[in-house]
Amino acid sequence: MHAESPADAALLAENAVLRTRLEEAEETLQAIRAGAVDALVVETSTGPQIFLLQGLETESNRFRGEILAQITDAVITIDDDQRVTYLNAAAERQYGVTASDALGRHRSEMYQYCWLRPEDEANAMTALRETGCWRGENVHLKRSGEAIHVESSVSRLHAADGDRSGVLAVIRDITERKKAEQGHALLEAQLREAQKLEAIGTLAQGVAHDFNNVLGTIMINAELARRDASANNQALMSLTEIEKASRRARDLVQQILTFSRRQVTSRQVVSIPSIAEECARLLRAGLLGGMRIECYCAADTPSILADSTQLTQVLLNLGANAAQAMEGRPGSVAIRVDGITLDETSARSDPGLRPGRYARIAVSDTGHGMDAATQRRIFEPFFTTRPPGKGTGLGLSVVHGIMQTHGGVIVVRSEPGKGSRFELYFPCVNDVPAAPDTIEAAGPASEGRGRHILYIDDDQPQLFASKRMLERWGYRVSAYFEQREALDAVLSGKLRVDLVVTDFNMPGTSGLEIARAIRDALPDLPVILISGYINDALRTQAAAAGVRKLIAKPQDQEELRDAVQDIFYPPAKTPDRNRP
Amino acid sequence: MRKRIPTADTLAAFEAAAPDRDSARYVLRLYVTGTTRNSERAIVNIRKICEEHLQGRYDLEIVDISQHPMLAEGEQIIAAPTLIKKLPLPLRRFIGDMSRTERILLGLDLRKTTERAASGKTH
Repeated sequence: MHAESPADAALLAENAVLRTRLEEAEETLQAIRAGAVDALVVETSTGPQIFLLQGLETESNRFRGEILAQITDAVITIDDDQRVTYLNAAAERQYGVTASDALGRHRSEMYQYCWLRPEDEANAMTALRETGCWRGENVHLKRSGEAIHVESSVSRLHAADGDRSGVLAVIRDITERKKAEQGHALLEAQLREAQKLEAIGTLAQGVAHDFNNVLGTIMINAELARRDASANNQALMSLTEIEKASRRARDLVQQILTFSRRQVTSRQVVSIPSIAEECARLLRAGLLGGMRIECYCAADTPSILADSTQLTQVLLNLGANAAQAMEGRPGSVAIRVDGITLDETSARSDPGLRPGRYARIAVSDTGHGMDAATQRRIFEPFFTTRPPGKGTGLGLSVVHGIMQTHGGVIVVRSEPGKGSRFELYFPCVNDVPAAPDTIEAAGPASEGRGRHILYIDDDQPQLFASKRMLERWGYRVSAYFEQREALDAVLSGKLRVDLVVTDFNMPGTSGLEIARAIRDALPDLPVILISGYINDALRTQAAAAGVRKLIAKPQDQEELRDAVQDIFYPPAKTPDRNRP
Repeated sequence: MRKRIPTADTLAAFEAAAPDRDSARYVLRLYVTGTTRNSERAIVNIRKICEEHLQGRYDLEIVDISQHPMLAEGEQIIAAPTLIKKLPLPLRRFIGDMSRTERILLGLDLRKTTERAASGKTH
């Protein structure tokens, strides 16, 4: 060891640095000569400038490079250690990586693959070994966790320079194509289902038509017999029962016709929330104890073009179906109404849906749910899971028919033991506000001119039939099963009506009691009483209770119409075109 | 990490310094020009060297100076690809496609480590 002066040490250090720089310069020259350098960097007054040594690459190599950069399929080379040695721009996009990040890394850090069938892997390895190439489909799991369906063409590389040996993979993302194929298969299944329902509908319509003729004969003859037997009370009672049964049969026929979409409907711009809330109220009154009905309507629910009577029927049928699914056990039925905008992705949840804005009604229950086999058949007419005699199997068929005529879509989600959810999608009416009074929008032909009638009857089919009829004549109808609830609503002023029509014979509060309460609190509000059996005693009591009209039940359509018209347009006076 | 500077060329001093070298963290920066042929190769080759000889104790940063030449400023880079060993000191530069593995291992002071590792493995 020699003692060195500081000056000597500085000189030695400077010498070492210079030697290193010289070695680096020599190394750079060697690398350039060997073609291992792509660019030179020259320091200028404005900063470093890059000069690419493009002359080192042949024209054909550059052209090939350009092709690989432009190609839309992912091109990747992988060495024998499974390290990525090349990837083009399409591969960077497909797998969400950059070349600088992926090069030299293990292929599994870019994507992992899984085979569609267990035997695929062995087949691919055999093909690569024996023929040097393999072509097929599998699933790639990207680093982001997203799975894509791919079609790969893999071939062994035998590069002359050795550092590119391994395999070359050309990988095409066919996820969208696969989805389209699946969607197509679903559409085909849906089409087959629609054709089957159409065929059943045609058959049902034919039967309904003939059945209607038979019913017409029965009803006409019952009416004639009633006139002939006017003095025979026993015969009259029997005839009344025949007529009642005939009307029920007629309602069934109407439902079949609704399913087979032969019924003429009148559609107008309607707001769903008011209809949904009224249906929820009717269902609450009609359902057995222990069940809860919830109704939530979003304020921004768009308006739709619909037949409000049919919409009511859809909701009541779904509500009744949900209640039946609970088989008498405690549970809840929820009706939710809102607006929803479906984009390309969310519209894929059902083949019938298209992107766009919809009004959505979701009716869900906590009932027993359905398996897939039941779900496939629920819209078939006469299909029911209930015991014989307990259901017609027409409720959901009617819902299906009505949704078809409205251009709507039904999406059913259900699992055994987990309840059911029916989602109805109605195309919304763009930029058209809902008519504040749906009856006013019905046109000048509507004689009711939107006059508001409170209709009370504990018999559900009768109540809805009468409500439908009155609405068809242009009246606005609030229908109630529950007498007490109806009376409270009208007496408290929550419900402002122009006329009350009530059944006489009801459990709890009778029609007469309702008439008396109204006479005392609202003496100007007219009341029509309907009874299955009218005698002198009832006439006297009705007159004392302030009842303006007494109609025999089952009332003829025209009879009810005349009675209501007589209230609003008394025959002795010139019809007043204004509201009373 | 504070480096011990060998003050004598004795075997004992070298052996004392060896564990530090084996565990030292390497900070490397590779300057490339996009996905040109040699730049791609340099990335593949240096990553392979790092994975084989420095697994778990290296930081490799890839800097693309074709898009941002200013990133090369102050680094005394005259060609691309260039690899700079920032740490452990001393600083070292390597030019080319990093295919001369032996030379790079020597320059990274990993040759001795490799030999020792190789003696304990069966290939």
